[in-house]
Amino acid sequence: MFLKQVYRYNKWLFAAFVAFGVAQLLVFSKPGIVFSPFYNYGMYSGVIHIKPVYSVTHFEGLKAHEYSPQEWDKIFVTLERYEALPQNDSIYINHIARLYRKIGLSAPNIQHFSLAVPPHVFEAWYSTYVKKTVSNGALKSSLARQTKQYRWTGQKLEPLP
Amino acid sequence: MMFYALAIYKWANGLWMYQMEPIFFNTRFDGTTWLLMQTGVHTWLLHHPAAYGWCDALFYGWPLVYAALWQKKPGSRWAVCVVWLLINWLYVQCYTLYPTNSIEAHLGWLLLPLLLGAQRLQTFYFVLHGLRYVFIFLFFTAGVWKLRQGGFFNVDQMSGILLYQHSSWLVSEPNHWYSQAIYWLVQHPVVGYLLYAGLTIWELVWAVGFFTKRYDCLLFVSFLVFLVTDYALMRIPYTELLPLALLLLFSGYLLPKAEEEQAIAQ
Repeated sequence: MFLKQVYRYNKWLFAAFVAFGVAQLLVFSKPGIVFSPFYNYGMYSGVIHIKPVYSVTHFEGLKAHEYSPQEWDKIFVTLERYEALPQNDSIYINHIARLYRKIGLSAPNIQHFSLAVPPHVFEAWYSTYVKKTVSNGALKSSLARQTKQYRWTGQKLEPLP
Repeated sequence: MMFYALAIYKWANGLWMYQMEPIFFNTRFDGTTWLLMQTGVHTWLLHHPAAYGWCDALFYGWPLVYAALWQKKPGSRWAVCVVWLLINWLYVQCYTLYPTNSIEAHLGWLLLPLLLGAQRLQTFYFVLHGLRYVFIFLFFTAGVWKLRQGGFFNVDQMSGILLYQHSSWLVSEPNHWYSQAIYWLVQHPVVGYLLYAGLTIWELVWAVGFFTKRYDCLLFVSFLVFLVTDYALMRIPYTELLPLALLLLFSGYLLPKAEEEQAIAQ
């Protein structure tokens, strides 16, 4: 038995292994918050149905097959993450500050947990970011970006009028 | 070697910190990360972008320091690995707060310095097997989550996932053969579901690794197949897990005896 061998070899190492296992099982048993390096690996485990309408962003002239998955994610995931920025405030107020108050400590500095990036600042940075990604370093003329609603017809995604 | 192969791959895709040049971060539900965020190091970096290159240099360069010292000064191995652990934790925590990718995929970088810092062969053996169990747990619980959260019981699951994952691709190139293949799977939910169910069963089968090492090579090969098919079907690269997967290839070695360790030391 592996743990028996570890115990006979070094009791501190055994204690570290047991502590690691217990911590990981605790995180596994209570979904929600994790504590690095103890994670839950539940990607795409929740029920996902086909939605009637999808909000999709695309760039005029951008051909998906010319980019690796990582380059594609750099363009689109960055946008999603920017749109999710307001959640930083919600996590701070509803979870972090609340947890600190619960254990009798004053709330940590909000500036370390929440960051406002005005849209014009983001757009200027994102424009350069996308140009560098799509042209491997050489700047090109701006790519027009649109977000439209698409419905699933049963055969394919079609833009809503 | 694996680390530098991945480093080159990431550089070629513009994924080093100096190439990303982030200007914002997203707070995640991670208690350890919250402790780090209190120091403000991640916001300091945002305001000092010139430091991104130095962060990359430390993260990608420190293994060379380890390689240079591990034989010449074996006594310093532990200290070098403590610094290595610190560098990796700071870099990975900050890097994944920025709009890059998930911290879960970087588990190997957070834990592997523990293995390489082992001073004794027997410690190395036990830590290797401990990390092996962590890797097996990763895949086994991925299967358990699909049962626990109900995805396994939804026949439309794969169709929903594919449209969610690929909507921007499908809109960009609706007539490309890849889009046609994705649409075909979405239109045939039973076929897609069989892929999802098959994946879940495969993940649950990883439990065998808790009881025997006999099938580790098979698990490794199946992981490679998963890597390729997931990249092809979902365009999600799990290449950062390769270093942990390699541990499966070394699990067959027996526990070294104390006499063997002394002989090697001489």
